[in-house]
Amino acid sequence: MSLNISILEDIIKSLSLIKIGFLFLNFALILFLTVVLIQVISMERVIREIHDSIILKFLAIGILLLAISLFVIAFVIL
Amino acid sequence: MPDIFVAPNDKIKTSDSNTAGHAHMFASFCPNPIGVSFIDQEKDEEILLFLRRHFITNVPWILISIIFILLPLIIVAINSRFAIFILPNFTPSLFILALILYYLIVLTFIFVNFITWYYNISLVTNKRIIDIDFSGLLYKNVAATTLALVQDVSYTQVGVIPAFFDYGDVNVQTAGTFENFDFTSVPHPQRVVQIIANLIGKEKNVA
Repeated sequence: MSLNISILEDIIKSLSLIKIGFLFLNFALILFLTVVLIQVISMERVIREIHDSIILKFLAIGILLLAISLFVIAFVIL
Repeated sequence: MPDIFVAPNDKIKTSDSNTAGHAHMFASFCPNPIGVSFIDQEKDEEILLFLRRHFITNVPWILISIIFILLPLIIVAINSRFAIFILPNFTPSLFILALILYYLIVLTFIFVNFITWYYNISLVTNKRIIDIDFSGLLYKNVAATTLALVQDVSYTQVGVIPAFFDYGDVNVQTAGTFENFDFTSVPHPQRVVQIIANLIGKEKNVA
């Protein structure tokens, strides 16, 4: 009985570690993508190409929103 | 009396509809690009040449990206047959989330590599030569020099692949203590050198 409880505690601890690790990685990715988006916007001021710069900006925003959504979903589900 | 010799017209065509073109997302060499402007561009300044590294220089990271994309499938396929890898015992929801996060990281890798290539641009205008360096995400350098300060321009093309795809390094030497400009792995380096040489020749004639 005591062995089962200790195993259960280990499982609970490991799950928390996985969740923490997953969320930490996700958060780091969100920060990185924020820097990427800032750089894309700043480079748009340096060199402007009609149409293409808008595509890249929206692509950067899209990937960032995807990362944020994944973070929220993981926080709720896990 | 018939003309014995007629000097070729050495003027660089500007805003010529036959040579002008839209510098699309994957363009590496675009004479007289339409719809392109840059910071500090003067009102009467026209961009004559738009340059990036040849697209073939992106092949290494593209191949790495393809491997990363296929890696989970390969691991699962090998493991189902030979059971070599000890995969962690994830719940289905955690497995899906981990997979999505993995592909998000791969997508970020692809995007960062692409914009690193995309924003490394060299421009030749009727007044200046501009070199925009964007590397490592946090490093950005915009260097410009007037054509009057350009002393010499040359190119190097080393190797089979550069010779086959016709790309090389163009070196623009400037006068005095100003740094030289290096256009790395640009397409048609001979044409680039020819255009810049014609421009500096024209500047010297005017001076």
